[in-house]
Amino acid sequence: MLQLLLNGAVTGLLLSLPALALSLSFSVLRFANYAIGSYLTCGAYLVYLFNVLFGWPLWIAASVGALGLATLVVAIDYLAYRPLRKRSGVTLLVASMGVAIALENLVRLFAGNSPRSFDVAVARPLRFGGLRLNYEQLTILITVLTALVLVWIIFRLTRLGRAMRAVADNPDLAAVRGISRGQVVASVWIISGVLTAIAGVLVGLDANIEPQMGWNYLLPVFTAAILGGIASPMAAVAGALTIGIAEELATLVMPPHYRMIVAFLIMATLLLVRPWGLFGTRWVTR
Amino acid sequence: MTAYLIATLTLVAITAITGLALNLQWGMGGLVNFGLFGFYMLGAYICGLLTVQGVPPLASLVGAMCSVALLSALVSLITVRLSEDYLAIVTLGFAECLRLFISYEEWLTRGTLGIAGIERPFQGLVPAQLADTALLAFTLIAVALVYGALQALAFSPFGRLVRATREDPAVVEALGKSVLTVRFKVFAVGGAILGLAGSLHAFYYTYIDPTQFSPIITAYAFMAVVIGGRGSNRGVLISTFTLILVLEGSRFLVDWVPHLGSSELAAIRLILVGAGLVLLLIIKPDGFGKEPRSAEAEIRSFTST
Amino acid sequence: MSEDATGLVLRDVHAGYGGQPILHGVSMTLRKGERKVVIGPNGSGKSTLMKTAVGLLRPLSGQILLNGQDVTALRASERARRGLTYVPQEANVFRNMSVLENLRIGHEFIAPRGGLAFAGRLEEVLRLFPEIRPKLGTTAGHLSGGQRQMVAMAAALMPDPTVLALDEPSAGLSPRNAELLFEIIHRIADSGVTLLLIEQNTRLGLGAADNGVVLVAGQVRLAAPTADILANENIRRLYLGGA
Ligand SMILES: Nc1ncnc2c1ncn2[C@@H]1O[C@H](COP(=O)(O)OP(=O)(O)OP(=O)(O)O)[C@@H](O)[C@H]1O
Ligand SMILES: [Mg+2]
Repeated sequence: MLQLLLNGAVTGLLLSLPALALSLSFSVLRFANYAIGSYLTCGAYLVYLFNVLFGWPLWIAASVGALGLATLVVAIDYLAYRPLRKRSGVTLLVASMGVAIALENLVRLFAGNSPRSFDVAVARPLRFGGLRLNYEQLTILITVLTALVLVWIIFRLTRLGRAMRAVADNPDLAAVRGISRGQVVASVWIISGVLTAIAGVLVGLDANIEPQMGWNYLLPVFTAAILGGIASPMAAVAGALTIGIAEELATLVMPPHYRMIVAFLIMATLLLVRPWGLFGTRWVTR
Repeated sequence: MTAYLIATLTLVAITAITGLALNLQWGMGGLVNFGLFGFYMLGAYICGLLTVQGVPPLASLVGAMCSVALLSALVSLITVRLSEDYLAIVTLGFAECLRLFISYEEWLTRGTLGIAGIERPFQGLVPAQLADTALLAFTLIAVALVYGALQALAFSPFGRLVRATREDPAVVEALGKSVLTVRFKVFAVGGAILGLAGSLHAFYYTYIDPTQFSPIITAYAFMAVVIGGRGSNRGVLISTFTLILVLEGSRFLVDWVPHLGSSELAAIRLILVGAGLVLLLIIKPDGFGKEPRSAEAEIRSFTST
Repeated sequence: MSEDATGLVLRDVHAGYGGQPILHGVSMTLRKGERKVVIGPNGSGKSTLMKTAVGLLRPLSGQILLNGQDVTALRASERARRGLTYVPQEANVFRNMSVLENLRIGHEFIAPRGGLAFAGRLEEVLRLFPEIRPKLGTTAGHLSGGQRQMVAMAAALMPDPTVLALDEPSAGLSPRNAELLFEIIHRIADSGVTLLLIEQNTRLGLGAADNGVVLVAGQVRLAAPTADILANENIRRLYLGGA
């Protein structure tokens, strides 16, 4: 039981980075980016490229890969989303689906369909009493917690964080207070890109790297973000933990391959009962 | 060569039907259905399962249409209290879960083994060598019927209500019409059409398994609507029978281009679909077709009646 | 009058929403240190005028000059950095952020960087608005209407602007609170900032300004010293509803 909770918490932490990235971009741009799954895939493959083909140690490969993905994400925003920003949110949704399909198949074109894995040494799991924590889980735990603390600091305590929250709160007022929306948007995409790339590496460590990997995470990531009240980034983390633990506990009554159905059921129930999110207080509206 | 042509045309005609369904939901109604392929898959499976149980193909088809219509409408209800944005993720989630369910519930669907030996309509009446041609004819008739029905709907008062809901839900509510009812009905009708398309898919392949159904089906439908011009049924038909035909036709390039395998070719095709979708939304937001009437005229005529 | 003596100038501005013009050729000039009030019936385009002046709305044609320089092509954030700050009619604070954060944001993206400058400005501004000092930690969305208006004005004053634009500061306030707020506005104006004010309450509005502009249906009907406007029976009957 305790083991299940631990595994669930680790799964949740894994989800929390892309969920945070998703709700961060939603809060500033007011559009749900369906390409987030394919960003995750691209991130994992970029890091794979540096790690396996160039032979760099994983952490260097991951840092460079994260910056690479951030650049890609900003470029996609510039080319694909920015020209559509004045249109309805629904148009952006469809465009992001187009981006997702293009990216996923770009990966398939260059890397093929077969699963791959990073070049890391296999280590034996650690044991604490009856609890088993394998090396990948430990990596996930430490990396995600560090990333979350850093994002929290940026978000709460820095000038950039205030600018992001201001634009999310009231874009027009932010503009007349001297905040340049373009810079905030770019920063948000950079942070999202870095977080998503890290998540891609961690998913790749935990399982395999394959073109479909990000797509499989799309539903739980959206559910986590909605659970947190999609426009409040930090609450998305709580949402992700809930999903992770719920998915893990559900394996007691359901076969493990139905995890996604758990996420869907949670989302459907939530949307019917508390559409503003489980943790988010109702976003104070203007 | 003729066999290729018939095969491609049948697939394109089926895509046209999904495009028409999406044109009703998204084009006219502004409702984003990313789970389109799930409803399509459901149609194929219900129809396939019924026929292998010995139900006559036409009855299976009707059964598939009705059940998909019902389920589709129910799914739209999950977002009772929310804007259309959430409809996108709910439908997508539903579709993905359905795919999982079908892949693993082997007692019902035979899982990844798939269902073989699906009987086509009028199978006994046509000679075997003309079977594909007959099915193409059947599919084209279905396209024509769906087109006719949707055109009639587009010009009916309900069609105006749907367009008005897309443009300004608040106005529609203020006039005492329920936006939710509109959404429910649009998803029911769209679901029936997708059930039809899925059934035709099952008839065409006579064998179905979960790998045949992917979000790519959704992407093609969106492509058809974006090129055709949101709201224009004629535009959707024209775009599927030109661009999608070319895209689908490129499958057969495998035999001619030496260095490309079929999976590379598929990847390139889908990159083009994805990038093309974005590009078209940017440079040609209204597509190449035209909606029957301008949206503004629509609201005005609606508010005045 | 030489160009550099002007604070804010609008020249033949046409502006509106979705290509539909609301303002039909509005011109006005604010000298440095001048206090001007815009009055007019509801929906006459007063807020539209102000949004165009601060850069939230692109004019369809016409020119806007700030401190003698053409800023028509600049975005709102760039105009703010050149000394023009603004308090909108509605949604004038960041509701999900604390009062202190609101004030900090008012300062840090406009004024040159530096922690000391912020602390100094904060003290000066809080001296104008002593009521909000105990509320610094409160989430702005939870304040009363009057307090929120003060926070909004305080945030706009933080960077020590050269031109301050206020859109209906008294809207939604009790008469008593409106009086209080206008006392503060008088003090702000006396400090030398150029003031562009929109006000429904013509008595308070005209009392706080040197010159008045009457805007009707997107056009300037009258521009005159406030004393003349108050003295003129006809204007008062026609435009001010006998106020
Ligand atoms: N965002 C907008 N989009 C479209 N039309 C708008 C918008 N804002 C205002 N309008 C219209 O522009 C006209 C002028 O509005 P504006 O807010 O400038 O008037 P106002 O003089 O400030 O009125 P009030 O005294 O009520 O504040 C009105 O007819 C209004 O309906
Ligand atoms: Mg106004």
